Amino acid sequence: MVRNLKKYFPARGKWLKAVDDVSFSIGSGETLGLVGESGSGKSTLGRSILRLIEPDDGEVIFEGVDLRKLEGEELRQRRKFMQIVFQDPLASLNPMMTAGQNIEDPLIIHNIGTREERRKTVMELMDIVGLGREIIDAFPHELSGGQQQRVGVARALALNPKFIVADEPVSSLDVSIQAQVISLLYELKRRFRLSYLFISHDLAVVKYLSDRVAVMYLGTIVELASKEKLYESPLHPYTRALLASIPKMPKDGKPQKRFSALKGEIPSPVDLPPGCRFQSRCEYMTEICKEEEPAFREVSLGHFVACHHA
Amino acid sequence: MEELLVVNNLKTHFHRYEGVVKAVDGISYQLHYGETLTIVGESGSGKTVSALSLLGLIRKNGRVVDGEAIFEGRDLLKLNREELRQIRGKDISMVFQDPMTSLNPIMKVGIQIMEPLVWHKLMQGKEARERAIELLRVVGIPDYQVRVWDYPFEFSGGMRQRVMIAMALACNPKLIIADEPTTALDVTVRAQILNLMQDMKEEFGLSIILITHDVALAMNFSDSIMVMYAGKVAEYAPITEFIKNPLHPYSQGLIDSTIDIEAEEGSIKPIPGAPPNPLDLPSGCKFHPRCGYAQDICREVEPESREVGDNHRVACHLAERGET
Amino acid sequence: MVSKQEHKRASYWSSVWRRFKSNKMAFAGLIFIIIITIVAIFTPWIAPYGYDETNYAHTFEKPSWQFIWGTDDLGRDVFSRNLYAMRNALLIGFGSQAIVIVVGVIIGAIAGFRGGTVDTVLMRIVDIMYAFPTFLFNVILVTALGRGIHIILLAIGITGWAGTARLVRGMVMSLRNADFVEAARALGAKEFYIIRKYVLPNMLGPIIVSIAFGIPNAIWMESGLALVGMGVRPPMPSWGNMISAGAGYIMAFPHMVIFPALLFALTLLAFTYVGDGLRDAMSPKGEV
Repeated sequence: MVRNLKKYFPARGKWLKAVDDVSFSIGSGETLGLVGESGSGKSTLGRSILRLIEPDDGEVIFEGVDLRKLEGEELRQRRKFMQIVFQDPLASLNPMMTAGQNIEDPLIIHNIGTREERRKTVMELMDIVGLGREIIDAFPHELSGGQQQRVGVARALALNPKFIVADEPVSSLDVSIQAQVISLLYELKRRFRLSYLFISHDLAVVKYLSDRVAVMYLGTIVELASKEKLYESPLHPYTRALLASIPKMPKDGKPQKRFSALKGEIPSPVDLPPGCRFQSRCEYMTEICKEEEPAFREVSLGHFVACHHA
Repeated sequence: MEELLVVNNLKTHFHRYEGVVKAVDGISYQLHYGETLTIVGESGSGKTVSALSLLGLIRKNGRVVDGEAIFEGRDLLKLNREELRQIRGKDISMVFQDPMTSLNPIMKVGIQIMEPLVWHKLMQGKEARERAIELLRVVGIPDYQVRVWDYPFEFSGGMRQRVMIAMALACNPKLIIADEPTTALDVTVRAQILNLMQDMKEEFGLSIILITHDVALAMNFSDSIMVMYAGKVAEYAPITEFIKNPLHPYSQGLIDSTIDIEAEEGSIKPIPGAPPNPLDLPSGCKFHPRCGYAQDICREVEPESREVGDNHRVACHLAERGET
Repeated sequence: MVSKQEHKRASYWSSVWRRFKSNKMAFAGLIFIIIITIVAIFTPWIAPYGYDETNYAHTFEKPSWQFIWGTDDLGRDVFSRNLYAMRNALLIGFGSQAIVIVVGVIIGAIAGFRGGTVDTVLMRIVDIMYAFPTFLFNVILVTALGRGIHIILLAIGITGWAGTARLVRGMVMSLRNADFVEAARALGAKEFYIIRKYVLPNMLGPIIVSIAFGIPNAIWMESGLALVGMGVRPPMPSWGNMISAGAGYIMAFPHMVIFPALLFALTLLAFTYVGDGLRDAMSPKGEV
């Protein structure tokens, strides 16, 4: 039973606070969506949880054990439970190994099973993710983007993980393939009771897969709520702006020629001014926003916001 | 409205070691003055190649093998290099996807905007400079008078894209071709750039060909929409007509598989299969292996693009009969 | 979608090979190298005469049926000596490069993988090696240790690994951050496993090219040493010492110089074409 992931994580690097004091938890079988644009730190956060990037401070507690305290062999063993799926499917596979070998590798690394058993497992995994068995000997560059990503997912599943960090897993895929992979992830989540940290800049996709959603801006979480609450009654001005600026499918036959746009650009995360990080673009900004950084408070049940005006 | 650009049966083929890739295999459309046409497709659909073909920007092992593209009375595909050069940047400009790499990193931004003006002998020196500054103002760059002498790396992604748009507008073109102009940008900046393009279109009476794979964007931003698949036109219609009545199964599939923010859980229906390998295209209708309506005729005969409604064209045997 | 039966296995190496084959000069170069290598291996059985088989009755003879390429000042058969010289050249070429690879890869990989202080220290050493005039260094080593073939190839190897080390370090550093390497880490792979299965196989390409160019360089280096009298010790022949010994007689008895020079040039050319061909075959060309 997965307990929680709790994380407290200030000041990474002397001058670029990629992830600045972030805390949240994910329950067993739950999907937390993590939304943000460039510079939000979402990718860094995902990798830091798995210690692919070493955090500078804070704790990552997985099933009661703080991952940051583990070293060497212990850490390697723990890794079986947490896996990652990458954004660029081709780059995430070893180009010198076939699809089958890529999927098999986790089993070899952890010395699981005999050769025949492993081959059988690989075939099963390929079936689960919807890959035809004939491509088992194909090299990554011969496969389509969708197939490559499925290989990545199969490989991530090989060790029976309980938690998967999905870092923009569909952003580089074609639209029709995105839908396929998202459906696959959805089905896997239900079938294997997986927990996901689903990182994306695409709000619509995140909503589809997640139970709760966190919005990040410049290194901190500015809002966290169940998906219904977040999408229906967003409290943070940034969340509202994000939701408003996406083109939606015109249901009533009327195409929208103009989109609600947030003014300004994402400031550089280096050398942030004091106060709320969002002040330069916020229409509700007042004096207090320039002085004090808003605390991350629970405003209603399970709904957290970091804003003075929420 | 008059027609600014008429494309007929454009075919562009590439010769690779493994065979011939028919990137664009017979597409036709019309673009009116002041109209925004969005070409929607996935990778391999040929949408980018079709636009590059108009301006003769196809790489060495590719050639336009057939068709015509009549722009203001002249066939772009029959012009020689010098004549094409005179049109590029002046009558037809392009805005590319990645603002990081499309701008010359070692040249000041103002100079890059001035270049098309000078090359096409429209302005010189001081006049050109002032126009460049004015253009930066028009596209919404703050502190434009100062920033005109900055280098591209000093701008953020959204700003660079605005600079690209300024360059495209410099010589008052009639048509701007924008190839995935917002794909590399952050979500909040995308809306800004799209609004800017719309403003520019209305203020200067431009026509725009927008190439994108973002279906939701295409459904909103366009006046007309053209859906491409495997180098051919699947469907072509005015946008209101398309929203009400998308006929081609691929168009419907795209719409159904777009994860919209309003989508219900478990409601997306992905199109099965994957875009075809251009070297190994299916017989008959190129979409038939993935099509839920496919019948024998779809496997054998390639459907022609036929008009089925008010300026609404579909290339599908069953759509013609009203069966989709 | 990958088409099934008709599709031949397109592994990275088979497509490299295919591209290489289509490069006619490179392919010709490769055939040439294969032929001379085989000849070099069997030289002691093929050569009609020994390399130091003197024949004072037949000195300075022009090419004839008895001595195909003529004889030199001591009546030795030029053809046989050339065969031995070729053998030595290939020995020096392959041998020195073997050292270069071993040393260069180890140092480059350690520097690239460890980073930090280890990297800085190792790279400074590399910089120093690079700055040294290689030729001079070789001369010094040979003077100190003697003029045997093995010494020479050792010397050339020891002075020449710096470039490879830098190359390897660069590749390791960029691969270290590649997604698929991170994936391996995420799977719990040990560092050595990652180097063995993920990093090294993806570095082979440029390393092979570097060897392909290193071999002619090494042969060249030996001939330079021979010119200053520091090459392979006579009577053991090398192209370098044959050419420089025969240079004085070039007007009267050109056959002593022309044949070795020709073989020398062809061999270098062959390796260079192969190197170029390999490099072209491996760099991703924009195919559409």
